[in-house]
Amino acid sequence: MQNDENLIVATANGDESAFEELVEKYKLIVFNIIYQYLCNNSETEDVAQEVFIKVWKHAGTFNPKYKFSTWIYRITVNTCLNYKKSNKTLTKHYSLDDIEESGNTDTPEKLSNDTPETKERNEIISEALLTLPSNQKMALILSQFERRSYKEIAEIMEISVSAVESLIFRAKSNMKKQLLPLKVKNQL
Amino acid sequence: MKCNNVKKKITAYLDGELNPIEKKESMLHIDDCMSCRKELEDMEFVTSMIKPLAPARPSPYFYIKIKHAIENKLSNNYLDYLPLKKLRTFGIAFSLLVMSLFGSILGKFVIPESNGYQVRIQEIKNALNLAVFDDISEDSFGMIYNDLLKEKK
Repeated sequence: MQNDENLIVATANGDESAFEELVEKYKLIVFNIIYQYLCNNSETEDVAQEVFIKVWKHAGTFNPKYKFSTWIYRITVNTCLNYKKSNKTLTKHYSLDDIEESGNTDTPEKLSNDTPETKERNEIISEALLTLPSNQKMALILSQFERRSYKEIAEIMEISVSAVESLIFRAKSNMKKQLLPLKVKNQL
Repeated sequence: MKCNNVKKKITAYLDGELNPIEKKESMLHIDDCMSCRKELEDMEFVTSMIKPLAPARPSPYFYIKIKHAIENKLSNNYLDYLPLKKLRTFGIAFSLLVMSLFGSILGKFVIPESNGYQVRIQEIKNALNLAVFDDISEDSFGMIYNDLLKEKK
């Protein structure tokens, strides 16, 4: 198996099988970042497609001094942030029931064995996440869900490490304001 | 360390992002400060709540859809992918070639006729001069004039 950097160089030279290998390798990562960010099942696949089209189109501009994973994270983050800017009104909270009832094979498949309590908790948390400003939310997703270090997040989002620290602090403070009252009411 | 500074560092502390010195100073402060200890507990609770949504995965035809989308984009915007500068240069050169060919054909078949027309005009002028200086009867002059007019037409 070739490494990512060789695969992207081959993609830039028109090697479709190299591109397919990259898609297979990164689709779940890309998909989940977008899904956590949008909290919207129906739009996730479209945005993920857009990310991989950008990878294919700009493969020739990849700078080998960076890691490919950082590059694809950056494309994913920028695509999400731009998508949110241009589709502010489209973003809505997903409903698990809607997804399960729709039976639409075109929408991404959901791997959920959640109990009703977990579903409710997830809904509350994703509602709280949705109210966060875009960059705070993205920094939080990369840190909490993707387990990226602050340094890596800084590289991906093209900001300083202290700016990442500040974004995550403010994101969690905002979450705290929304979640703590629910804890007091024993809703969490 | 002051409370404000410690509170700002609590998330980084929980994420294991503080350097050893910052970590030690923060821990010392938190041990002695009720307010910061409460903040740490609250942030621990928030962090424990922030769990990813149940994972979703793309449809089985995800790659095929991407490939199809790329092909669509290619066919819709194929001009973007063509070497347009070379195409423009080639277009201008081709136009000039066609124009010069057309000009030469036009020159070959049309210009000689207009030369002939000019020659005939000169002949008419000469004839008119003759009519002025020679003693020609009115009838003869009229006939020449009519002949020349017919020829002009």
